[in-house]
Amino acid sequence: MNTPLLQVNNLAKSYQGSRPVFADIDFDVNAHEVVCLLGASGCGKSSLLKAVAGLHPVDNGEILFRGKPLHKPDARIGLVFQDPCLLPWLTVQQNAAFPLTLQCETKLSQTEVQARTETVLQWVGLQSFADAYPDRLSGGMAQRAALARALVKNPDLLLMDEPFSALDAITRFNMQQLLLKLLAHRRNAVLLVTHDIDEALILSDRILLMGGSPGHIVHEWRIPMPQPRAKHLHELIEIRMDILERLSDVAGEHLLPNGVVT
Amino acid sequence: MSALPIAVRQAKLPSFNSRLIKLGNSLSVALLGIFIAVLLWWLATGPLLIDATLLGSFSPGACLEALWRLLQSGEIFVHAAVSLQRVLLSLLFALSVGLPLGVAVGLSKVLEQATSPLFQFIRMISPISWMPLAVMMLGIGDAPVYFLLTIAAVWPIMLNVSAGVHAVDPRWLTLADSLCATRWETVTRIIVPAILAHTLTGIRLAIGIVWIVLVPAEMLGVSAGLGYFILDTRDRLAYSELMAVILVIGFIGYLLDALARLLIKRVHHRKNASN
Repeated sequence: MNTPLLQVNNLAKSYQGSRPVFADIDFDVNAHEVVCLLGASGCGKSSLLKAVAGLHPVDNGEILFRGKPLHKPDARIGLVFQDPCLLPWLTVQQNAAFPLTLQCETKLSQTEVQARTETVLQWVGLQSFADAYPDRLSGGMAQRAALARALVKNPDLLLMDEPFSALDAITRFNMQQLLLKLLAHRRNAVLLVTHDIDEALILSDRILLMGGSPGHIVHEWRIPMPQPRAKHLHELIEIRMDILERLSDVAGEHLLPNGVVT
Repeated sequence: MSALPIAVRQAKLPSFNSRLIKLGNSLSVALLGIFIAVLLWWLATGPLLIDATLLGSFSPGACLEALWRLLQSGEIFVHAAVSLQRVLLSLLFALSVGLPLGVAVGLSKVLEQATSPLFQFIRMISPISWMPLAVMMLGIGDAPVYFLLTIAAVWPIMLNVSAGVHAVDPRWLTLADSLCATRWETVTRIIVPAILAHTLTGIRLAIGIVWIVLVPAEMLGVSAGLGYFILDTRDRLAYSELMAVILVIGFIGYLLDALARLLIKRVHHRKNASN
C-alpha cells in the first residue's frame, strides 16, 4: 500500500495560558485526494491547517509529509488563505510569479518563470489581467490570482483555508468549478478547510467533521460519487442530513458543562 | 450591477464642471491669502512713512526687482543648485543609515527597547547645537554641513521606517513564511516595499527639517549655497536681494514638500485601493 502524502498523528496544540485548541487529531491525505476539514468557526480547523503548513508549532504529535517529519513550511506545499493576500505593489503576473523568484525554488531562467506564470494565469483565466495591480481586481479575480500563485510551483499538496468564504454565492460557485477543473487537470492533493457543508460535498473525496472543545475529528465521510456532483444530489442530500445530525450532536456536546459527553 | 438608481449615482459623482468650480474656488481663496500677506508685507516696509529708504529695500517691489536681476544673471541658480545638492546628498546619507536602522529596530523588540530612550534623547537635541562640535571634528567646509544635515534627517526617517515595519500586514509575513522565503527575502521583498509610504513620510519630514537647518549650516564657512548667499547679501547691504533669497528658499522648500506629498499620495492611493 502506498504511503499517504500527508499523515497527521495524535496532533495537539494549545496557545500559551489558554485551553487546548485541538487535540488527538489523526488523519491522512493521499496523493490526488481532496479532503475537507469541516467545522464551525472557532473549532480550531484553521489553526490545524496552519500547523500542517508548518507555520505554527504543535505541542504533541507529528506531521509526516511524504513520510518525513514536517516542522517548517515545505516548498512542495502550497497555501491559499481566506484573504487573497496579494502584494499590492506587484502586478498580477508578478504576484503569481513571486514564489518562483525565491531562493528555495530551483533557479529558473526569466523565460521559464514567465512561461510558467503565463500558463498558470491562463488556467485561472487571468491572462488578460497580467499587468493589472491588485486594486483593479474584484474579490473573485483576486482569489484566482492567489490560486495561481499557489499553483505556479505545482505543489504536491494544496492547503486551502476557507478560500471562498469571503465571496458572494455565484462567484464562490464559479471558483469551486474552477478548482475542480484545475484539480482534474493538475491532480494536486488538497486539504481544504471550510464551514460550508455544500462546498465540502461538492469538492471533496472525504469530509472530516471537526468540533468540540478542544477541537477533534468527530466523524469521517467518504464521498464516492464522481464529478460532477450535481448529478448525484439525492445521495449527497443523505450525507448532508447525516452531517447536520452529527453537527447537532457536536453542538450539544459543546454546550455540556465540564466537557462531559452523554 | 449597482442597485442604486441612476439619479442617485449621478448625484454621488461630482461632475467635471463642479470639480473645476471647486478647484477654482480653493485657488481663489489661496491667492487671496497670498495677496493679503503681500499687502501686509508692503505695509510693514513703510510706504506711508516719509523717510523709508532702508525699509523700502525690503519691500515686495524691491524684492521682486532684485529677484528678476538674480534670475537674469543666473547667480541664484548656482547657489540653489549647491544647496539642493547638499540636501539631496544628505537625504541619501540619512536614508542609507535610517532605513536599515529603522528596519532593524522595527524587527527586533530587544533592539527597540535598548535604543528607544537613546534615540529619543538624541532626536530632541537641535541639529544646530552640533555646529561647534561638527566644525571641531570635521573642520570648515562642506563636511560639517553634510554632517549637520544628515543628523537632522536621519531621525524622522529612522522613526517612520520603524513605525512602518510595525504596521506591515502580518498576513504578508505569513505568506512569506509559507513560501519558505529567507529572512533576507522577507525584508527586501516584503517589508521594504510595504513600508514605502512610511519611508516617504519620513523623507518628507526630513526634507522640512533639512531645509530649515540648511541655511544656518551653510553659514559655516562655505563659499556657495543659499545660506551663504544670505550672509553675503547682508554683508553687501543688499537687502532687496536678501529678501529675494528668502523668497527663493521658501519657494524651493514648498516645491520639495509638494513633490514628497505627491509621491506619498500616489503610494497611499495604491495601498488603500487594494485593501
